[in-house]
Amino acid sequence: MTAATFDPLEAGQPAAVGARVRRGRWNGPLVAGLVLFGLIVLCALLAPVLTPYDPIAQNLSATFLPPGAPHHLLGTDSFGRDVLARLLYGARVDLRVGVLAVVSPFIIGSLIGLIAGWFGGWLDTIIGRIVDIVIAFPFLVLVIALVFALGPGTTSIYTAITLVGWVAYCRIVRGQVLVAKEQEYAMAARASGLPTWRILLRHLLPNVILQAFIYSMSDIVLTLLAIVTLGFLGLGVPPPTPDWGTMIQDGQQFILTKWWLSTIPGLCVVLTGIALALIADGIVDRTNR
Amino acid sequence: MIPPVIEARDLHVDIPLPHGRLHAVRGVSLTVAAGESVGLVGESGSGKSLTLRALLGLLPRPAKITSGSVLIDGEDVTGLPPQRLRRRLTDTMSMVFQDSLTALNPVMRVGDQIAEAPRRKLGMSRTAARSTAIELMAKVGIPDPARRYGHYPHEMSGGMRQRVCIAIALSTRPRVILADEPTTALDVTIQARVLEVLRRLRQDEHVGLLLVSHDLAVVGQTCSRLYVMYAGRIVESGHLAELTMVPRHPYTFALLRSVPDPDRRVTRLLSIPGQQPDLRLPVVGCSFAPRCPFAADECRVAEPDLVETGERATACVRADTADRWADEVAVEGAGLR
Amino acid sequence: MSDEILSVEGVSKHFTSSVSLTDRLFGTKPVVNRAVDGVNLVLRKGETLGLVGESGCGKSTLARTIVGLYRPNAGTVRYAGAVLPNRRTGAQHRAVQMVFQDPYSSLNPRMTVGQTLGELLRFHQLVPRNKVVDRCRELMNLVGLPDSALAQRPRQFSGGQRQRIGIARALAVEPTVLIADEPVSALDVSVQATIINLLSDLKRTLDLSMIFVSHNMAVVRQICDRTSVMYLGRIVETGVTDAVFDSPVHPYTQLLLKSVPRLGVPAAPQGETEGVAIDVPAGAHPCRFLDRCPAAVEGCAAEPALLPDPADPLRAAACVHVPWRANVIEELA
Repeated sequence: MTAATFDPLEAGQPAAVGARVRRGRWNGPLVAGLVLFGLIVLCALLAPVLTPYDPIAQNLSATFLPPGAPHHLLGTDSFGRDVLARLLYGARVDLRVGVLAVVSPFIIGSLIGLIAGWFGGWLDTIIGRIVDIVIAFPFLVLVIALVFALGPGTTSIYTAITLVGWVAYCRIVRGQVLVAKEQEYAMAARASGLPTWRILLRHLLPNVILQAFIYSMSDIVLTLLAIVTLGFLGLGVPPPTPDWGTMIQDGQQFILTKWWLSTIPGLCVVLTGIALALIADGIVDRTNR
Repeated sequence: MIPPVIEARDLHVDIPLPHGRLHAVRGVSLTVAAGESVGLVGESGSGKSLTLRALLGLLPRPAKITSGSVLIDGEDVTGLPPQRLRRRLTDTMSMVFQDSLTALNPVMRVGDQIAEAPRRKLGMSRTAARSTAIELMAKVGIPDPARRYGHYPHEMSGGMRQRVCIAIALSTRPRVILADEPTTALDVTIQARVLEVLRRLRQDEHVGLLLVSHDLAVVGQTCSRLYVMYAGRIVESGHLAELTMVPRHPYTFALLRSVPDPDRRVTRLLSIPGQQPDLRLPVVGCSFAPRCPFAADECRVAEPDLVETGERATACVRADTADRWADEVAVEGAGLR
Repeated sequence: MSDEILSVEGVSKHFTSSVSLTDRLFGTKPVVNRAVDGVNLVLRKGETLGLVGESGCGKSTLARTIVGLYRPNAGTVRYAGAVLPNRRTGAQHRAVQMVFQDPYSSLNPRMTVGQTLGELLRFHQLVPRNKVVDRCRELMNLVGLPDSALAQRPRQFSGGQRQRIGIARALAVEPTVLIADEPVSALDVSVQATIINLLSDLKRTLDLSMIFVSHNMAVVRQICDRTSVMYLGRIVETGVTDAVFDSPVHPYTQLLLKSVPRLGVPAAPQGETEGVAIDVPAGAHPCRFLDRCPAAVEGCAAEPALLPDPADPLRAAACVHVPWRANVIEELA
């Protein structure tokens, strides 16, 4: 910290018991992010209500309708399927896959990182080497290889992304633990005779998980993109199930003439990313203030 | 009286907050003359560091001076355009910080850091600046300065680094050095040596010294005149001997008795209960009254002015009862815990 | 002695710098830092023992070894006569508790004060579950904080208040020995006094024995019955506090005392003593203070042992200049 940043409370202004002015638990970014993400989730859940069309029903007599066409708000694609319907049903698939494919690496990676950082020694060395090996391969190459080995389908995607994705969380949490375990509160917990598992879960984890959580927010978007790529290779969500990645992929060949086919699902990915980033920002604010 | 080199008049510093503001420095006036060592004592949050930084125009964001003026050789410089003001301030004063490790550039040789100002500001040649730097290093008591010239900050001990900082401060040939807790991070034996360096500079070079510290003993050992700061204001000032012999503000009184004496064991240290007032809120009455063992009703009505009598100034309406305080404390000793 | 409650016998704690496997193959040897090197201490029931020294002297490492945070490389710590093992039982942990230095990092920022205290009370089953809140309030009372503090998180308190919470946490498990590791060094002078007074009051009312670790000689003088001075991992002088402060015999203790700032007393000018150059034969272990010692002589090329004063069983010093050295040698002869 340089002299340029300055917190009057750190500078020694006494904080009287309870007198501290706190930023609200609900700050701007958090509310905005939650509202936006809530809307996206709501759209996904209410897909059958919001659109009368079946996302996989083809209508070859009404292909490539532009947005604003009668009865098709966002137009239709090359098979005459309603773009809005595919978008809404696609959100269901993508959000589920994206979130689920982040939750398990988040949990597994964080726990392994916690253990590696705390115990150190040979355990840490072994885990560190495994992490190095996994990181040495490009993320996608490894995921593709694993999905290929496991066979296409959403379960393979979850498994593959978990097997590769945990290392990022492991690294983040391990680094945080190395700092936190030298903090006096961790020492105090040890000195008072609390068992190790309790110190790890109750005292360390809440203090080290924030970074990993923030990473997980952007990781959801990265995972969505990975699924897009898998779809391109025919290893993703099997057609004709609608998902944003496949939609972008399908629209790509008509990008010069029928721009909306790729752009609209692309915007959805961007919006989801913004919502998650806002939530991450808000949570950082809320915990640090 | 020797005319002061720098003077602060009724300085106010605010820190804007999301909801309101923190009135951190509330009308501080002080002077430092050439060759004089002046101490500014107060607990953390009293605004002593901000006062020091305000003098040098180094206030951390978002703090800002809201009123008052800084005078150099009797001339008000506050109205000068920013560039000239900056030049004027840095030509007159330089600063030594508490943390010598972060105050120094970690990837630059310490000698070059000392030689930088003579080269850039005083227009010296490379070799002249180098020999000036080595001279300065010798002056602040760095043994074997020619060899140490090429060292990097991390290769030196804390005491040596702080000496380098002092040498850097001296390199612009300032007339006053502002030191913000310069020895707080150091071990006692090292602290003694650094304080010794500062004292010698004052004597030999006739440099004025404004030393800020929370430790009355450190200031009391180094300075001849003292300002005691509490809750953003100066509550008492005067010559060291007078001030410590007969403190006329209860805060000074309590502070003196809360400092443990290494040569004598007392049955119980006097402690000052409670905390400084929250300066985000307006202060009603004397800011020390809630913690003051001698406070009367009149103390809670209005904040007392700093009344000057000769070279002594006190902001306490009950200052005339000061000679009885020691007895009162002895009687109600238990209540003072 | 029968009233010994805690004793440290020949404890050493060395830290080895980690050297990666590849560096090791190229012959890089890990650097060993002998933070604590063969220290003996005795804490008697009801007394406060001061452990003073400058940063890097090993006092905090020793304190942490005593509470079981570090495993000593050699030596043992005994509590009430029994050796404390590397893996302590709950009761052994509870007996010796620590107050930490930094009021800002010593409390878990994510837990309220009530959660911190309550966890300990529940885990060690110190009070029935329905009495946990009452006991927490009692602890707050004990350290002079309002009950409302229990619902708050550490960041809402000032440094002095946090230190009180730290003390309450140590006391929650009902220890008999308190190790206070620089408990006031991060606090303002005016707040220091309140914490020192609180600690000495608590020590008396709760019948505690205390080791008070500090670099501040003036503070140590106020509250310690006995004082041990540490330098580079060893104890160089020990004795009843007044004796150590009034007639220090080790040159390091003398230097420390001379360096303490005193109000209104200009410090005695200190020469840049680099010490007298003494020839140290290769392989010999000289006195650790040799290169800073103004009184070094040829005899300092061998590290002096802590020599007890025959006239005062509590007093000992490790220096060739110890005045009672002649008497001891005479006696041996």
